[in-house]
Amino acid sequence: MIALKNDRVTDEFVVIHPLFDEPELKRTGEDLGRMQMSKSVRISLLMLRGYLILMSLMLLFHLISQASTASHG
Amino acid sequence: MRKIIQKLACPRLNPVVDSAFANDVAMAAGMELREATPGKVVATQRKKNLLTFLMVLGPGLIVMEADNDAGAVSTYTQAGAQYGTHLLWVLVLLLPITYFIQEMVARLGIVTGQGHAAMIYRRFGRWWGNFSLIDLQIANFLTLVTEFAAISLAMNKLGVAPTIAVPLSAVGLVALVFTGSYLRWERIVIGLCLLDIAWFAMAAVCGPNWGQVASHSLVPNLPRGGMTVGLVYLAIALVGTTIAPWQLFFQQSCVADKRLRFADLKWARLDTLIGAIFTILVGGAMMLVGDAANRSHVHFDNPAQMAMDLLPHVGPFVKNALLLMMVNAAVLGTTTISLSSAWAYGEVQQWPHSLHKRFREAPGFYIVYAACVFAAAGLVLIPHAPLQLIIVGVQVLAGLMLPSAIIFLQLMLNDRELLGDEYVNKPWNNWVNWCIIGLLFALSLVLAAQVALPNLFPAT
Repeated sequence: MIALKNDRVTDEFVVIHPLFDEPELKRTGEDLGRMQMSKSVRISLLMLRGYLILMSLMLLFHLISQASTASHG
Repeated sequence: MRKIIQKLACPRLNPVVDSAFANDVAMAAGMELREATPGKVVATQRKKNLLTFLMVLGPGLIVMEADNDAGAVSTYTQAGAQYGTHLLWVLVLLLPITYFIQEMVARLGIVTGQGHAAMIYRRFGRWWGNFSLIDLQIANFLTLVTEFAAISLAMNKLGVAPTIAVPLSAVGLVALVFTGSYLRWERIVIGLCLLDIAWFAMAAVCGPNWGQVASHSLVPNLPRGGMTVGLVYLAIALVGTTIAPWQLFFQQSCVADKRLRFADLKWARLDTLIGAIFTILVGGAMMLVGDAANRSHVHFDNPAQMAMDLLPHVGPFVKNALLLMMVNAAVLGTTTISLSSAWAYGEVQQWPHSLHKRFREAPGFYIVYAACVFAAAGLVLIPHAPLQLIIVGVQVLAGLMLPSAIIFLQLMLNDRELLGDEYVNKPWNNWVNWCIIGLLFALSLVLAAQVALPNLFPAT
């Protein structure tokens, strides 16, 4: 649909919904590959691995103790 | 004159009219033709800001309010029933925490235009990507089971058999999404979110001591008995209920699906802030309803039973509203959690995965969503299904998953190579976020230590 604009200067603001706007160029990281393993990133991931191992061991301990309680009970 | 020229130029109304003819007419009238943008024209900057905000509003409000799901209803009402208003300050502390986390998610979604699962795969590799995805899918599925369990419980108290209520709600939830329109889904879900205003009415009818509510909200305090094992568990459950791993995946995917632009970031932040405040207020209202049970010496078993037992004390409005709001909470939780699973899986498999697409255009995405919903509903209908074990399992998985999800988020928000200087975290962002991560790690370790050393805290 064609819209009109007067020669006179008017204050008009056009608001476009994001779903209907022209797509933007985003920073998808497709061309970057994996994150660079700086010291802080390595330490963070190491901490995370340690935490997950500890929690998994705790959970296993809990399951074993629950199972032995159930078998004795 | 303007209207006549517009009608002439409109191809829908006049397909045979040459646009050059319309141009000639416009020139004769001293006007100029230009291509119309698919937008609304407003007269002032203020109206422009308001309209833009209303267009952006959605992902933040929905992700926050959907977190007040069946599990949250159970946890908050239990907290009120067992400890009165003594834990309201915990909710107030959680408000900035939940906002900071979700703001980072919204920012990452807007800048990358990608979902959280896709970014973890891309930046951290297949091992961490698979770990995050599998953990999410398991935790989400178990949570969905608890949602349908709540629907079954609440509708049973309202006189509707679970064998009718659960399948009907499953079908409704699938139909909600299968419209091929993101906007239609969003508007319906925002409507469901706003229904939670009923909690404020319920809290008011319960007649709490407002002076105590204010002081217990602002001043940290402990209930009589001090730090017991029950209190520790409940405090951890409160944190785990208010900040859930699926929220990170949901909001980022939702922001990407809604195609929010860089310029929308400030409105997305406002959307998230309003959502956070509303959610915490609703959570507080849930606690006040539980507080009514505490003051009436009603024993807490589950929220549905509490609703029945509160009937002689606060009347039928609270009883019926509580049961209906339990269903509403479960419906909200189910649609958002199932979508977070479907989006994450679609991103990783690189299938089309958008609510804009119809079923034929994105079959994998819709099948994953429907499979999550129907499988969880089916499990609840199995007689003697181990629902209590599932509820405990959800809490354990959430405890495992939340710190890892937050760490990936923190690392990506410091990824200058990806986000650039403009959108990467500022130093104060990092200080706050590492404190939050430290707190979450500490709470998870306390929970684990309690398992290993059951006498760590006194029982009563």
